Amino acid sequence: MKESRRFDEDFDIEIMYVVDKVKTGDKQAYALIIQRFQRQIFVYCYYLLKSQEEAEDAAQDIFIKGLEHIDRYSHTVSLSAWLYKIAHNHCVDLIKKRNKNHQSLMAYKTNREQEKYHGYTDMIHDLLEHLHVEERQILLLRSLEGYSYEEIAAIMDLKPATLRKQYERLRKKLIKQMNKGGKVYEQPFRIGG
Amino acid sequence: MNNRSELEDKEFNHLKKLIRETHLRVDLVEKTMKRVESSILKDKSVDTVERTMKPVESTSLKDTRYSRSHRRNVLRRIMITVATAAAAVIILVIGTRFTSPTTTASIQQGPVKGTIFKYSSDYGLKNADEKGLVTTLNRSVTHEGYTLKVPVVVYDGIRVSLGIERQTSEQKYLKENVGGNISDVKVSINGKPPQSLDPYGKSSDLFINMGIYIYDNNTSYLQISDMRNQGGKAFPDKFQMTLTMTVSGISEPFQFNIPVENMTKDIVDITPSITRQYETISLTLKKVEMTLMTTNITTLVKFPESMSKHELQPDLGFAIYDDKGNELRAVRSNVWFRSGVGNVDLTDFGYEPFVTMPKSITMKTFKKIRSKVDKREFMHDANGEIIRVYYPALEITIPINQVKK
Repeated sequence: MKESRRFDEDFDIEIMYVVDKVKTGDKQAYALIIQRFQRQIFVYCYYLLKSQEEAEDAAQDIFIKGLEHIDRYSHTVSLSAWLYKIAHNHCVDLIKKRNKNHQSLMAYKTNREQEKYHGYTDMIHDLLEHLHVEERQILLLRSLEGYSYEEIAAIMDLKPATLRKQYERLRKKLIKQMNKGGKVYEQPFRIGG
Repeated sequence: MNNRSELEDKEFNHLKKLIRETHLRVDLVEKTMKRVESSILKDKSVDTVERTMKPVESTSLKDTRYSRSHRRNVLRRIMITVATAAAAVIILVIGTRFTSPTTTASIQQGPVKGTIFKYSSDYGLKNADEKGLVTTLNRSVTHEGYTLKVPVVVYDGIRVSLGIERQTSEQKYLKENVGGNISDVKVSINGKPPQSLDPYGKSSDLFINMGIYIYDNNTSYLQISDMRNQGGKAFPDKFQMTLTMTVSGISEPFQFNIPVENMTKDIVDITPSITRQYETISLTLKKVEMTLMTTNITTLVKFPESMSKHELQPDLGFAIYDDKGNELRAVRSNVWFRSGVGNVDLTDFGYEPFVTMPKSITMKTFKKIRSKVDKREFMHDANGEIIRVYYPALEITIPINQVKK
């Protein structure tokens, strides 16, 4: 994990130059930022919103918001963390809006059923169902980026100590579910595990 | 109890791995950039294509590209290659620094100038593109539904850089970037194998360095250089290169015939031959070459005979600075050639070009420290940078104005 984080930091250095170019007016250079971070941001949105279509729209919105506010970005934090902060706020807003409207929620569920899911993401979705939105976000940030508690705390506006407790709690929840899962989870977790 | 806990950790970590490796294809670049462009259009009545394809302003680079932290990327990403007796050195650099192929394809169509090198973070390639030195080839070979393209080539007398792109819908190939698909690369120069350029003519070994794995990356570039500064013969100014690449799982090789021409007519070539001594190590700065694309440094390092075995020698690196203390970023793999004697290393390093010709160049020599845990790795500081132990006695500064041709 440490190794992959180091590579990420490398990327941030590359990205720093692109950010500076974008700030000086070269909007087209922003394509490189999208190219670099699109997969993680998309997967993050996908596991939170449970719909590929919604996730794609959300990820586009997040990148556009990033571009609109790029002048506010300083290199004191990694660009990925900054984008995740936007993603966090954006997805929380979307989920709040969705929860206000039960019909909308049902539409999402239908959406999800209509999409061609394979067992891989289905299984992860099913497990994430047992977590609150906040817990899901913590797990996703830990899984996708290997962020420290401090980094996730900064993204989510939480205290690191609170976050650590939440992480332990969600971990126990998931392990409990995985053990319950029996046959469903046995196979994927044993292969290459 | 302990076993159970370990099992839980294993399962939980596996879940995180599954999340991390979720295989979902997504390409938001074009869609998002279209939205960006349309919003720009709303704001200002400016032709989008012209606006977005406006060449990168070199002025924006001047302030940023020299950061000290810039260097560590290449130093880490490009592994050291020991070319014991190779005539040509090939480095396949995974194109982590390009925009998406859809973007690159679009810029090659129509009247808009610019090639994929415009999007490289290698300032040398970008500069070559801006100066119109890059030749568009658009060569393409398809086998078994897998297309490899060589869209562009540029040669500055120091390095030949070739863009590489792939097109395939086969999932088995898309799991890796294009560099990961290519299992072998061979070149011939005017129909002759690379041995013909070898100082001893006894090896055809070519070394390929892979960059880090990037998901869904279809673009990379190949970099090939001769070893004329290490006793080999130089590439001709104009030649036909036959490039043969093998893709894992496809028996038919992908062969390209590429016309290569040195596009840099005015190489600044300095042969200072300045020697510095520190304890038992002697260092000579033999040659500095500067083009619009590359700054190349050739050094000769002599260790005492008691240090003939490579394992006993310090791992040296060279940092190049302009007169204002800005460090140049390395762009060419740290290749060295052992000139037949174990305690003498003739090294050849490539860096980005200077934005403006400096009044002087300073070369600092440093030692890298190997990790005690994994001898293949170098130690890094808290910021993730390779730890450098400088040898002040080996520092060399050359005034440029006095020796410039």
